[in-house]
Amino acid sequence: MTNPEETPQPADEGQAQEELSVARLVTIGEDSLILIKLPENVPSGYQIIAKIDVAETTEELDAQPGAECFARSIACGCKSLSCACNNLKIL
Amino acid sequence: MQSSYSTQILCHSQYNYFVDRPEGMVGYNARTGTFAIFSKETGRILQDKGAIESLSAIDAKALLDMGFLHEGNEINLVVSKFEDLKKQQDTLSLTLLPTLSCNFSCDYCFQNEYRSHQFMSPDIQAATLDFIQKLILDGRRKVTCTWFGGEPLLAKKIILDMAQKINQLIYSENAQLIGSDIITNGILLNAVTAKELSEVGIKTAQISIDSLIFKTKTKRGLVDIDGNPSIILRNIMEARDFIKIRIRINVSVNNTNEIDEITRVLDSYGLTGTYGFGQVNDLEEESDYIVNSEGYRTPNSHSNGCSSCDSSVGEEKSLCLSRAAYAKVEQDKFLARPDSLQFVISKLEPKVHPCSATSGYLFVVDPAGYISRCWHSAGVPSESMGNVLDLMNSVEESDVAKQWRSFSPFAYPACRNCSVLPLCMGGCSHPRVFMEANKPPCEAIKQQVQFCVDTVGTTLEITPEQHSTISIKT
Repeated sequence: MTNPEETPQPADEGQAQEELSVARLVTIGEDSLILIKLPENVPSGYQIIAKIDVAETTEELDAQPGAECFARSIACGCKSLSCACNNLKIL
Repeated sequence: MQSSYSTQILCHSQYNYFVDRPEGMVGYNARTGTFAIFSKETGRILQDKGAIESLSAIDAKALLDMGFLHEGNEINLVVSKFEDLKKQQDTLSLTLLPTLSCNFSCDYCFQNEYRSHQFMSPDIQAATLDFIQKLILDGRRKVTCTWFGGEPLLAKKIILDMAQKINQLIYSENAQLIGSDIITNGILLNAVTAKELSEVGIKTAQISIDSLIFKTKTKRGLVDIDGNPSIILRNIMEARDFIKIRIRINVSVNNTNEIDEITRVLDSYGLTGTYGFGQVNDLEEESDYIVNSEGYRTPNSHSNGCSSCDSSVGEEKSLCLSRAAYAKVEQDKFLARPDSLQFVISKLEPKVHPCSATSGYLFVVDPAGYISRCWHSAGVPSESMGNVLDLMNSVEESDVAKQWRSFSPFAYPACRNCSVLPLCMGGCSHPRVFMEANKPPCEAIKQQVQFCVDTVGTTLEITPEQHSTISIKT
């Protein structure tokens, strides 16, 4: 097992630039609302990239222009913000 | 460059997916939800075509952080998030059913076997409010509330009255209403009702439709036989002024040939982006169970290829697409559309739990006051944790609550070893909790994951800065 403490010392900027061959583009995570930046030829409404802290209330959600909580995108009945259930229920 | 970082114990994640792009290789990790771009060389290593040891230390650390590599047993990282959330009991997801009665009789409805026409009595309403207050006082201070049925708007007065009281309760206890919504067939959701719901804080209505042509009491269609908007579509357009509308298209063998026309009509009314698909399925049939005349689920003793022996099983079965067939319909008819990108992205969002039932957040109260963990248990007393009229003991101490609490999707090898586990977390758990289901309830994402990754991975804009970062080794 690698001891977590053995993780490398931070390299100086020049070294990082030279060695890094990976770059994070975006993270779709349960703790944040993500809107992904897309090329301009994609239909409007999906062209912004932003990491937005999860809104605590509906009012906060509504106040975020363009933001849409995916957990609420189609109601599933259990929309706690930590639960992104896709099991759409049948009425 | 030879790594100065010990990469010998690093392993490839089983949740990695890749897309080739001219700029390099885009990867997606389903456990962390991260999209990243790699040099071709790094991409090859991550695809197990090169030695991890040849990664630079700084790359290895970044890849570890983003989940493309892992140390130790990767499943433990998924399990620990699942278990940790169960310890954070600060959220209360309420689903209240003021009635199980309905003004429609859809042949596929999962409640048909145990439908009653009872409405929540004043005693049960009062006891339900007491129960909610107790849960808030126990520390569940973030509250969501969903009104469900039957058709809940048959009990509009109960909803309006109780919603107002719940709001007062939340306010007086200094808790927080995160969201409130209603699931309805839309027949009664005219402008007046939508305004009334909005005034008591109900912000969203999910309306389910299932066909193009409306037929009284049986087909929730968008247009009448003469092509004019049906009562449901007229109500959707009226209600939108007061309440957010989400439309669910129930997909079954009956309407797959109508889907294109249904979505065309919705689009023509400016409803693009407000609708999604849902599968009509039959959990009892999948588990080889039936619902007997007393409303109890029992193993189907006549299942030797003769499902027609029991009409409650046979009728629904004939309506359901297989899970794989549904996944293809949803992908071809919906996800492949450019304007569905948001839904594609949402399918790639890692989950912590399959739903609020397993997290312990969800409390479903049916018209008779029975409290359960799952919508499928509403109206089924044998699956309840107690009744609001008889709360001598904590519902959390009931056998059913313990059954839910001890449930783990990781106990099932099919899920434990699945490469999309973080995206579904085992799917709907009800059949496993109550029907000893042995087939994994795979969600559509299992069939669609590479399509979704391809769609997002090829469409993501890569900034010059991001590209320059990886250009050295391409």
